[in-house]
Amino acid sequence: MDEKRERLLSLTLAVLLVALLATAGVLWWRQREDDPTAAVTSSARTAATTFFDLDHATIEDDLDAMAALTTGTFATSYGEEREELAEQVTTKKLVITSEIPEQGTAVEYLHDDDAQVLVAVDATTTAESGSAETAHYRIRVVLSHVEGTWLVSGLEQVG
Amino acid sequence: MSRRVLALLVAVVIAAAAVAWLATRSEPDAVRPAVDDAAAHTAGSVPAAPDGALQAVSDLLPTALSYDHSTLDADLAEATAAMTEAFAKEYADTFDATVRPLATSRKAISEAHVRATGLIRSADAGQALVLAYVDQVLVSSGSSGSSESSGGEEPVRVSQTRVLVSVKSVDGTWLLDSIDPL
Repeated sequence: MDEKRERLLSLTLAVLLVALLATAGVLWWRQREDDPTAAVTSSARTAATTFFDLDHATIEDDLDAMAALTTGTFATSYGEEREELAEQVTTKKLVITSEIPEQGTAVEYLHDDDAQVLVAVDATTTAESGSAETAHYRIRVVLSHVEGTWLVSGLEQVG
Repeated sequence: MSRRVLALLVAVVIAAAAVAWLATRSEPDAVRPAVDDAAAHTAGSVPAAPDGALQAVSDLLPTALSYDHSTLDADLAEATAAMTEAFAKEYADTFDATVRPLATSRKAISEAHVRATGLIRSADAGQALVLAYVDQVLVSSGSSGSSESSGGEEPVRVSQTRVLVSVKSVDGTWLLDSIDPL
């Protein structure tokens, strides 16, 4: 092999090596998993309390706040139910406040852009008369990762 | 062939193998949480959870929290077999003080059904703190002379609870280390 051909071969191999390393780098970068646990948990907590926190004095704002967190068919069904919800809260002049007990949030499922989080919610309903009642809920928040944000695609009571 | 060419060739082969491996390796299948017809619970995939920790809670809680008034000793033995030594002692005391007299007087058969499990946190691969939604079902109550007994065959759902469960891996086996209501 003369020197010229050997140099050409070296150069070809070097270029090939760089290309392969770049490909490997891109593949690895794409496959490495960011752990979205913190983001998912925090979105679920916000969703659960926003869903329950309703005050007859600020009812439209409260419902808007929840609607802004929803996506897909859940957004549609929430939109359909909000009027009735508003009427109930306004007629009875209710104030509902919610709390999540310590250790009351847990990841049930997490894969790619889908997540399910269990949230224990203690909701206190105060009527006009001042009488208050606290109920303990077992909530499941279903989340979808949409354009960089975790939005609520379902919220149900595990009854 | 010169050393330089050989070295480059080896590097290219290694890099190609790395690309092939990265391009073909498959992601682990994701499991959705589910409850089957027999009320058995399948835990969902949670990347941050140690292997088997959530499913262990699904499998062990029914054993720990179900009882039949006619087989209480066997039930207790089976329940404590799924627990760490320290928790088994604590549980046996509670069982004798509360479950045993209640189950005996009411001739009760009660089953615990796990409806959901989720990971609260896990500091290492050997332990996990889990939130579980559990239904305690009174399958039958044969108390004679009690007016509150319905006498029907239908299972009655008596309580829906939120439970904090801690599990520990002992010699490769997941065991219950604490159960507390939330």
